Amino acid sequence: MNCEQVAELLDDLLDGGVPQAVRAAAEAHLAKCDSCRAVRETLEQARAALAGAPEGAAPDLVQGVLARTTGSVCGAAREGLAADWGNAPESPDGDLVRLHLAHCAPCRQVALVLAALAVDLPRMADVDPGPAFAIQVLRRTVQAPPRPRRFDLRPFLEGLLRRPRFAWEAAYVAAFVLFFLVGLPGSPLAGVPEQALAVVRANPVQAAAAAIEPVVQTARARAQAVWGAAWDVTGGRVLRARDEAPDSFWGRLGRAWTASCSLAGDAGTMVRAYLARDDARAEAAWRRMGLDVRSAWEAMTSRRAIEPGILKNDDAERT
Amino acid sequence: MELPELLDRCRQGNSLAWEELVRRYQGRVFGLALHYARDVEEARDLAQEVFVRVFQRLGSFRPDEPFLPWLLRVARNLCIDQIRRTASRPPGSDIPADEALNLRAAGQSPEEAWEAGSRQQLVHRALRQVGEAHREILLLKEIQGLKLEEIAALLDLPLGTVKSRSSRARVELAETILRLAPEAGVAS
Repeated sequence: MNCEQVAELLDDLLDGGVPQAVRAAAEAHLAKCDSCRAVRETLEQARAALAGAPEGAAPDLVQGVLARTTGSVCGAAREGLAADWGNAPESPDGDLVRLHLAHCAPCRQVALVLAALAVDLPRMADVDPGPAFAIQVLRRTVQAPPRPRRFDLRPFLEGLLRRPRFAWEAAYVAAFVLFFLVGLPGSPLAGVPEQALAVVRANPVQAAAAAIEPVVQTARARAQAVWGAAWDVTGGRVLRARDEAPDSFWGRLGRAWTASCSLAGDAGTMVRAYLARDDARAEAAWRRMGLDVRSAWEAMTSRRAIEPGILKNDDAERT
Repeated sequence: MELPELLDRCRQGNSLAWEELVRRYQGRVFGLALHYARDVEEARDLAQEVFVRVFQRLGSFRPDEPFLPWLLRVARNLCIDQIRRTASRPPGSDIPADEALNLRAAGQSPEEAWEAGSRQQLVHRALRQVGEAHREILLLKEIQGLKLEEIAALLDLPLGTVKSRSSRARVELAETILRLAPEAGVAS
């Protein structure tokens, strides 16, 4: 039997309404537990004082004397009660406190409440917060074991595409590209907008194609020269990287770059053919653009190396 | 498993040990938080925050230090921080004894449990009316069972002050209970 069980039985023990076996167990615990014994003694004293309170005494006389000499002694008596609470009686005034209790009903009430508190307060320490509490704490504290990090391009790109502001960013990038291609004085296509506008204003659409053709050719030649120079510098490395590690990031990037160059060239061809009303050529360029887009997408997303023949055939067809 | 070994495993990052530690002490922390919070939900949130902070600070806990006073110190400081943040703190509501104070005493009949719950509710109401300094002493000593020396260190008070304040706090609580429920002083 532990302290809590004995504390719950104290009232019944004093009333005598406990089976013999339970009483024996409680007494065995009380014999070795100073704290429980002190609680029982406090309870016994409070009951004894309550039962043996003298009737018909002259409390007014005592109160009057106390009022004119020391003042009320209830505070000292209650502090004495509280000091011995839950411990073996150690107050030197313990006997005097008990005598005071015999005459003071309010202090007897305080003694009873103190005895009850000795049981109730420790039981308030442990309060069940509910079955979900520990799970919520664990969810907030225990982390999943960290997985080895490995850069994967596909989720990265998919994440980029799924962002709501992707359209705005694409528009910004397109604006910058247009600006560098067309807006700067030294840009490869610097004169195109003005010339195209002049042609469109002066001539009908049929004339525009013929008029713009040399301009586009010149611009394309310049762009190819620029891209060719860049390709001379970087393309060899990219191709070598692609050949050496076809499944690596750089291999995929190289293939995507090649497909993007083809896409740009085919787009130009299609625009020119459309303006010249050469539907067959425009349609062929449109088909090649589809292949280019597919090649670029596969290069970016799949690990399968693109068949070199596709690009070669496209190049042959384009030329 | 003994507490020192459990703490040792927690510090090594053993999540099962951490779960056991949380389950072992959740009642104590929640019981303390109930006396600082405005309602049961806030107490639950506070107790959760306490364990998150304990988890973060387990590395700084010294093995030769008693764990419960350390845990209660962390809990008390966090609760006080929370009270300061919510400056306009309305008086605490009475917590339904049968729901919130789900006592762990086993083997009680429904009548006994109800009676015990009502008494707990009365004590809880009285505790909210006791002065702040006395209330903390009662919480830490009589309810949580800390030693006077541990409370003195926790509250940064001289031992004698804590001891005398402890006696006065008991008396104040008993008197408050008698004021709230005069029938509590009648012997059964």
